[in-house]
Amino acid sequence: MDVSKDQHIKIKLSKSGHKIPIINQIHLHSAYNPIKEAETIFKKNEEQIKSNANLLVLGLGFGYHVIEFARNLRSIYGEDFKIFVLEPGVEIYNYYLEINETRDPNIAIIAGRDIKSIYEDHDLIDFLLKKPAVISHPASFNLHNDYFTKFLKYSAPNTLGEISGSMRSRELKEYIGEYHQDSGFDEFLHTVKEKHIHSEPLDFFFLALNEITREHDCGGRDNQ
Amino acid sequence: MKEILIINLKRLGDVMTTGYIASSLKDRFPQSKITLLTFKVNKKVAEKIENIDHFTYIDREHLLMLKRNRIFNASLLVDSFNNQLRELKNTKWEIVFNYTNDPVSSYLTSFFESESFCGIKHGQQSNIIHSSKASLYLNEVMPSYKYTPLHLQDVYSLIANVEKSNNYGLKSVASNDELCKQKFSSLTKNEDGETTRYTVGIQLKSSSESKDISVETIIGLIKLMRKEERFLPVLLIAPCDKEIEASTHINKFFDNELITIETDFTALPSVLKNLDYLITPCTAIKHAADLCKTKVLEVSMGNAPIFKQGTIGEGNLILSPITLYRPCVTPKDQRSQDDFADCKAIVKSQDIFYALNTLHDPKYHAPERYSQNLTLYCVRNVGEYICYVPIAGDFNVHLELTRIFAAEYSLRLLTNFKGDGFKEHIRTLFKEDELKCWADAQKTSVTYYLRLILTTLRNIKSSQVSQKQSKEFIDRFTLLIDGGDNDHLTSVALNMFRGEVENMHVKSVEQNRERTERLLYGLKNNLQTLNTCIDDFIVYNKRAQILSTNKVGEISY
Repeated sequence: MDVSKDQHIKIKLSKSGHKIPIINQIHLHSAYNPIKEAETIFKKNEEQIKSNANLLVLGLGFGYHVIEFARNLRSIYGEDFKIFVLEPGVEIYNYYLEINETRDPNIAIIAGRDIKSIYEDHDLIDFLLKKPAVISHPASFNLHNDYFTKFLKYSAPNTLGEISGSMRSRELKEYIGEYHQDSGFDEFLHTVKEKHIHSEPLDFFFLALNEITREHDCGGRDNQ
Repeated sequence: MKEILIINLKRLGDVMTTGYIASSLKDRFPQSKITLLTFKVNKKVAEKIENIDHFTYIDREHLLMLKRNRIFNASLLVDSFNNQLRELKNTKWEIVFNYTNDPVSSYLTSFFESESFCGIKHGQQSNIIHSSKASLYLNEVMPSYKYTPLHLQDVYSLIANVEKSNNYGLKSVASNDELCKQKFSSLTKNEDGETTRYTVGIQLKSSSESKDISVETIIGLIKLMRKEERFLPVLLIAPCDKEIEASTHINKFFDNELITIETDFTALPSVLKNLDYLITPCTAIKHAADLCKTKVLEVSMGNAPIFKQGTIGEGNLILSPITLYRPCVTPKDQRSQDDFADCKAIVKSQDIFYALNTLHDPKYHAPERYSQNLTLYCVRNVGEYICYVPIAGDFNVHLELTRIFAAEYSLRLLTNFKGDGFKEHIRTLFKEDELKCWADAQKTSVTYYLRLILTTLRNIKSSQVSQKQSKEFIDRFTLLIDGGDNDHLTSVALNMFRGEVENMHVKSVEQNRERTERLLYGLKNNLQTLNTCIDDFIVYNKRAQILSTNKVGEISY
């Protein structure tokens, strides 16, 4: 799904001879030298980028900045780094593919996806759990401000009905299905705890999960 | 093949201690496959433990991140936990050993399918089920009994119903072992290969400042060691800024001539195995040294669990501020940081030095007395059980007598223990008048509670017809429940009783009455056993007095 399909893309050459996209009369890269501009973006965020082998970039454009980031990360971490790029437009992503024929295995691009489905992408979730540095491509971010703001302020659906829909285990889905589907997850865990009879093994699974994710030290009852 | 699962959800040092029960289980069931479930953060340490065939981890940090962050759908949390436990859930266990007995491990013990379990698990009615009397003892007596009579490892072996084994250890890399051996040999042996000096590792830091030996004390200790030249001090640190800074600071006083070994848990066993002695305030390093069978002098301060998890090698020593002054020996006894500071000031360089000499030579006589309010304990084995005997310094007679005797009494309640080892330690440690006074006080306490039980039993029978009797029953029953908080020997039985009452699950008033009555009779029997124990001791003591030519009441060192 292209979330920015109503936007018209024009392509022109910069003074340095590089292709640059123009959307709604906005230049996504420097009209003079996009490579130099990418270096400037990197310099501006150098400390943040260099300190983390995982980088989330908001906005692709034609990827000059992404390539610059990858070059620098590779010089520090070898092949042990990862860049995820979020781009709302599919068309611009296709242009990017045309321009950059060689694929960097350390760069993953998610393009044209709605926010909810992005947060259901397990690869991206594993990546986010590594606490990546987050850098925005200023022109892309301004152009798709709503999209990126929604991404940054996202709250996952919290009702049991929505949660069980995304769950992989059928057994767990069936178990959760017996509870009030409009209740929140914490409320559900509380209900399991308060049950008078814990007759199902999965009761203990959720009791353990509730306990292990409480904000306290799991040290044991006779911990000194 | 017998599949055995041990769940240990504690931290580094405590995870290492799984090695003892793992070796006992392996000895008892040589064909078994033992799996350890612990937190992922303990991975490096866990995989060093001998006798464990398989390791599996819960990544709690990962789960917490999924739970804390609103961007993640809770399904990810559920799926992740499910994935982490799937292999364990799909295994048919013969034994699940709940080592830590915390809420998570107890729920998991109930969740996994097993033929039998050790420790506690949760029943269907949110009740706690103990696998044995020893489990009840571990969970109800040990946390509330101020001066824990039995060592945790003894209780674990009772829970598992296995004999303690000596085949425990920590895995090390052969090349590291050889390297340490060569390095230390070159420093401690002369040209003819004779040992001229003994290496003494000094662990600089622990997990909490309240447990650390002060820098001034360590410097003073090293000065004493260097003066005699018999001992070669080696500073032990972990690779972290705080510890490196501490060792650099200390080394400056000695023109950087001291040897410092910086090691993480990967190479630690090789270092410990090749040291002659270890002085440590850190409980984790102590556990590692015990598993490596290195001789240990534990300097126990702060809220370290001195008796419950003290060093275990026979002849090892513990130097501690007198137990009366120790804060936090029980969770109920929370005191301020100032109290810790006071305790720290008690331990002086020469005290540690004297204790080190005693560790090296048990016949050593300290040239002067230990600092006031400081006790030196020695690990003595009574049969297969651990007993901490005060051998020098100051100690509270009543408290130590009660603690050592409580060990014998506890074992009589949990096993068919019949040895005289504890009695003998008591007899040789204390004076006749002290023993008499103590025995009288204990018997008075037993008599009081036996009478209270009898009247409570009378009340329970008549409480159905009289409201007054009902109130009296509640008052007396409460006295029994609260009785476990005192420092008498009766606390052992009373705490077990309290635990049984708290975990009692009945369906009707009639059942409740019957069960309460049964528990009261059980408590009565346990207190009568205590009476018998004290009588046995009095007889033993008299007989020993006649037979022995030694003067009673003197410390044997």
